[in-house]
Amino acid sequence: MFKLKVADARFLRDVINAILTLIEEATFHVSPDGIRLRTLDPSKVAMVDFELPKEAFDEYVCSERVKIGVNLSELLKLLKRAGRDEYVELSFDKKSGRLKVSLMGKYARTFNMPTLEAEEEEVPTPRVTFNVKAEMRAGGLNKAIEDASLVSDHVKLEADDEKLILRATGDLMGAIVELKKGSEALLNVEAIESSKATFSLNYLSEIVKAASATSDVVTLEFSTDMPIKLDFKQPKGGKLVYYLAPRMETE
Amino acid sequence: MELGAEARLCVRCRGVKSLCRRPTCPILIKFESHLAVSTKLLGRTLFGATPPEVLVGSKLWPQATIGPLLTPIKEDVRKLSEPSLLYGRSLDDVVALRSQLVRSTFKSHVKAARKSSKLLDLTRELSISSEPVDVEASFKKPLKPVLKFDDTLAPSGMSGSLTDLKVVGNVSAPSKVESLVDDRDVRAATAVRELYEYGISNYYIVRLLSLGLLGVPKDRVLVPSRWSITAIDSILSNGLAKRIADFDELNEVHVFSQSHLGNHYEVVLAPGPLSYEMVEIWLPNSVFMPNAKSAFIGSDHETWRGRVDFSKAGGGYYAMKLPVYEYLHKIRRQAFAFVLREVSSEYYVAIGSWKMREALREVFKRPPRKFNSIDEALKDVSSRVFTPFEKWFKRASLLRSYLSQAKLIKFINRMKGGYQ
Repeated sequence: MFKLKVADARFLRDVINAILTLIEEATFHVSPDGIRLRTLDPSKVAMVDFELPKEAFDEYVCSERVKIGVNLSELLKLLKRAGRDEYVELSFDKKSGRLKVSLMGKYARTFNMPTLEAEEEEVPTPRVTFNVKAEMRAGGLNKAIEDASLVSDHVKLEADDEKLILRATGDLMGAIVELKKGSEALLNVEAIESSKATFSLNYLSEIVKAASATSDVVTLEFSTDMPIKLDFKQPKGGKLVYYLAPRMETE
Repeated sequence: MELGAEARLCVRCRGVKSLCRRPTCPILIKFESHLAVSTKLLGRTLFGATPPEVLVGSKLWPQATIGPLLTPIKEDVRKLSEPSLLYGRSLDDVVALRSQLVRSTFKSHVKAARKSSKLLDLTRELSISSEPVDVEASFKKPLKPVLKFDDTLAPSGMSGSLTDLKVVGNVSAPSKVESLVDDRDVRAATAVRELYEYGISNYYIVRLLSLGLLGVPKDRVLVPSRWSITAIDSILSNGLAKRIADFDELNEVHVFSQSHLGNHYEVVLAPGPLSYEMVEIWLPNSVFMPNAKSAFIGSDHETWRGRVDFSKAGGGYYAMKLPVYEYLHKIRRQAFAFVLREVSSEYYVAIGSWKMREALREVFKRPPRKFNSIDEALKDVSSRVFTPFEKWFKRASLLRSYLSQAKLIKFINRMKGGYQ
């Protein structure tokens, strides 16, 4: 038996949308403690590590561990039907293998959708020693990345104890976004040593755009030519963390 | 404007977007040639046949200039129209064959397709046919012998506005076509995919869609041929993409290449989740590059997420995507597909997008050259491309990322080995 209720349908919608940036079909691990998901994207370049403890829900009932495979864009289609101030109820019927999605508020409607074969394999997270840790406003990071996207498809991040710089070099144009420690966007930055690494904006902009809808504050961690970790702070003990492998640009 | 700037405008526009703000495209006009009127044309009437082929014009949308293409010659009508039969002929031959087609026209609002009118009903009747249909047409004035060229549409010869049309021959269509034309409960996109899976050619489906013969009642509007061609390429390849995503990744690098009518094609298929990138190089003095000093390079791509916006690279992007996806579906593999098209001055007149679709379908009939790495494959590719590698490579965003992007899995496995 598994059932959950969320008072704000938009919260669930935004979270699903954020996971959808990396994967179309996802396997959720559901347990009495809560829900989690960890997966690589099809190119094996990025990872999303997601968790919502039972406290994050307005109602949560789970009697046994179960894995549920879901087509996220189909689920999102249903969640998008919910209006402001409407709540969502999800329940899984193990016998039929179907997920029931109820939207309630102005009027009640219940959809049911098939679930998919669950992925067995669970990948460990990359364990990298990060030399830079930067705390940012998610909206500020989103804007800086939009700026870089205007001129190129990849961006170089450079950081020391004072600042974080985004450098993009395109075919014709270039862009430099400089964020100083303590500014509106960059709340804090600490660097064991100054570091730089280049990342694909295809990935970075999709991730940051979608995830910043769920969160106000993001912590970036990276090291020279190593993966970046983006931790989008979630309410009520939730977790939404991304890892993205670097690009090795020969310049 | 700097020298050659106007030429760059032309290659982006290709006679479609009116970027130079002239009412008609000066480049396409230049090629319009005046033909000798066929002796088989008697006055204002034409006794002949249609392959069938129908043109729905986009210029006056939401009004449409529409009508069947007709020929006074009744034998071998298909060879004028069927892209698989036109393929392999020289540019001059294609133009000569197409010039035998008379574009008959009448005007209709695109939404009028939901109602009945005599000329539209007859046009629809003959366009449903899979075989050539004998017709009798009457025109307002004696026919104007002018050849028309276009980047997406195949050329046609004379044109004249219809006053009357009679279908004298038999119309025959596969039962699958008839049943979907009659079915008003199935959406147009679903009908399109069903027809294709049944084995109906994409060109036949384009014709049905552009005449508003598929879908639920609100889908049944006239769709300009130019849009219908790209819509069908897109619907069909996206349908194939869903299935391809379930296949295993190709495990080596395959290269296909082909030159056809001044268009050189290179296709690289490399291991990875399904994604597609097209780079198009227009060399100086190719059809949309008169007076240009240097080549124009355009590109676009989509990742496994697919795309929702219309490609800035235009119809060719979709015309080449379809045969690539057809091939991946056939070999049951997913891959990163990179297509390079280089257009030389030998391609001096525009004959439509069918040439790209057919050239790639043809190239996939032959075995690929196989490589262990994409670097080797690219070396092989650049040996046949006139434009230097560095020039086009920097425009190939997905390809560059394919070469430089590290895999996260590499950093996960390191940990297992005791890394830090």
